Amino acid sequence: MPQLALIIDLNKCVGCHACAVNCKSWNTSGKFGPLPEKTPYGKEPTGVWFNRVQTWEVGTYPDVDVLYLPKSCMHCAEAPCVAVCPTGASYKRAEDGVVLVNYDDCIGCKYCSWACPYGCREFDEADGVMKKCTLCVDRIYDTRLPEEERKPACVLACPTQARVFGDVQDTDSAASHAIAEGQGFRLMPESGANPSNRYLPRRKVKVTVDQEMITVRRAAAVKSVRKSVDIEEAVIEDFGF
Amino acid sequence: MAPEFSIIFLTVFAGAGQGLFLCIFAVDLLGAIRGAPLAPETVALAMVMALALMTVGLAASVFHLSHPLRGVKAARRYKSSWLSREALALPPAMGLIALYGAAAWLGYSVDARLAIGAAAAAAALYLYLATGMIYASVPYIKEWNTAYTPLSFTLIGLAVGGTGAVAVLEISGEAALTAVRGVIPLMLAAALVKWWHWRRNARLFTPFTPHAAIGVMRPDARLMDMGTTYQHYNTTEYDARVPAAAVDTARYVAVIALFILPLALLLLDYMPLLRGEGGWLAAPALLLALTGAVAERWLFFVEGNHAQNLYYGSYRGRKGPNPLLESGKAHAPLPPR
Repeated sequence: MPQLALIIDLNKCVGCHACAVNCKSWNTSGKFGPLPEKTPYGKEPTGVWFNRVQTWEVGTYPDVDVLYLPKSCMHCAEAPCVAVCPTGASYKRAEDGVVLVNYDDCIGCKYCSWACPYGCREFDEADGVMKKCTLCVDRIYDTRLPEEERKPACVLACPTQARVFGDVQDTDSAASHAIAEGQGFRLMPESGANPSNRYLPRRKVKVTVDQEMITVRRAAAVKSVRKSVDIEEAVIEDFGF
Repeated sequence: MAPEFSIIFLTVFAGAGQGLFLCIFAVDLLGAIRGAPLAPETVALAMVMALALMTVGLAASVFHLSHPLRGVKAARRYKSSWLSREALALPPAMGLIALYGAAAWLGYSVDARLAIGAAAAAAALYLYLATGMIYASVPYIKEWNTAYTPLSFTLIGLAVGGTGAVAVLEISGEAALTAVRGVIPLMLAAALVKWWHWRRNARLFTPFTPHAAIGVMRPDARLMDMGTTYQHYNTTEYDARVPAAAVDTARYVAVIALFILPLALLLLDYMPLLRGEGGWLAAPALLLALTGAVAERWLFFVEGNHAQNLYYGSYRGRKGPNPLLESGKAHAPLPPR
């Protein structure tokens, strides 16, 4: 059974929140209606966001690391939220493993969110229904979009390409290769939900730099700065300042 | 978990209504065996009371749903969801209880009445199980994920409803001695199970840890920013944010109003009932017990500590020792670097 999912490389994530913003932008103006906000410009804004980038501090001073953890629905293989939904509004698609909510059937009992160990379901107070990451199901199959844009909004927005989207059951997909090469892991494996989204762990990266390298790099940097300055001066001359 | 009053009132009042019916049915059945069934008017009055309590609960539950009109659809996932099973069991239980009362009021034979009552009793008992299992089947709230949850829901419902049954019997001038003799042990059993439940939760080992939640195999990870908004559904719904003093007060109210005072009032009633005189203390005992049960259910919600709170910095941490370490089946974790 295919299972679409996101693979997030924690080495590459710089915590810029572009994925979260693009997610909100696409999904609030998409086919499933807006995602409401309460006092978005106030002191204490609240609202529905499918994707949130968390900041964690790991270690004890001075040996500390900052970890950015983007978190959205894991599209679990054994999604506990689907089993507990009394109306069948929450369902997992057989064809691609995406967990979705039928907003027309949801009675707003919130029981599915009790069954979610990851806190990834977001209740829409305005519509009175539970909402969650759809893996941009309204984008990824849209044949009017160019092939390379048929990806979730968060994947398209990531400036460091920390996000890989694909079928994790297909052993030859880019997603599966990323998991295998980056030793992808699941968040909170003891939840028993078997989440599909994987994270590639942070690694210690050692770079040895010799004096020659520094000289070469510095020369290149100085050259490129000169170049841009030259262009600016040229432009200024053109405008006759 | 943030206490949700609509669900608190649903479980307390519907549970009390079921308990009232079950106790009246038991008294009726025992009376019929001894050749002295209850007067039909008493049964009818008691069923009106039971249905009134259940209707209060049902009305409260409507406030919990954003789309109560779609509630009919809640019967679909009965194969996997206890909430669906509860939604499926509630109408037949109320219907059969109403039929039991109607059969008494319309003067049907005692046997016919008791046959309907037996079916209603089965439905009411199943409803207790389904209600309790909604909470007990959530694996990520370890305080709820135990057999104590359905057991204490059932026993507290029976004890509170039983007090109501005694009150109805006293009001309608029936012999209430059998009922009091049944309700006092029920009350004691409910108190014992609740005490065990609280004791278990105070020493609970919770397997969820922040470092496994974020995949960092060091125990010294701290949340600095939970992402994007100041608060949102997953922080307000799962974080009770009540002061410790309120929790203590609720526990005192629960113990005193739900168990001690009703027990004392029923025992005070026991003497005049034994002398063959009428008692009147069960009605105030019912009001006290309902208040105490609301406090107990509020506490049940506040105690619930959901694993997802690990992601939002409000998880209350580990209280008890690791049973695996205690039994020597696992290695001790390395100390933090």
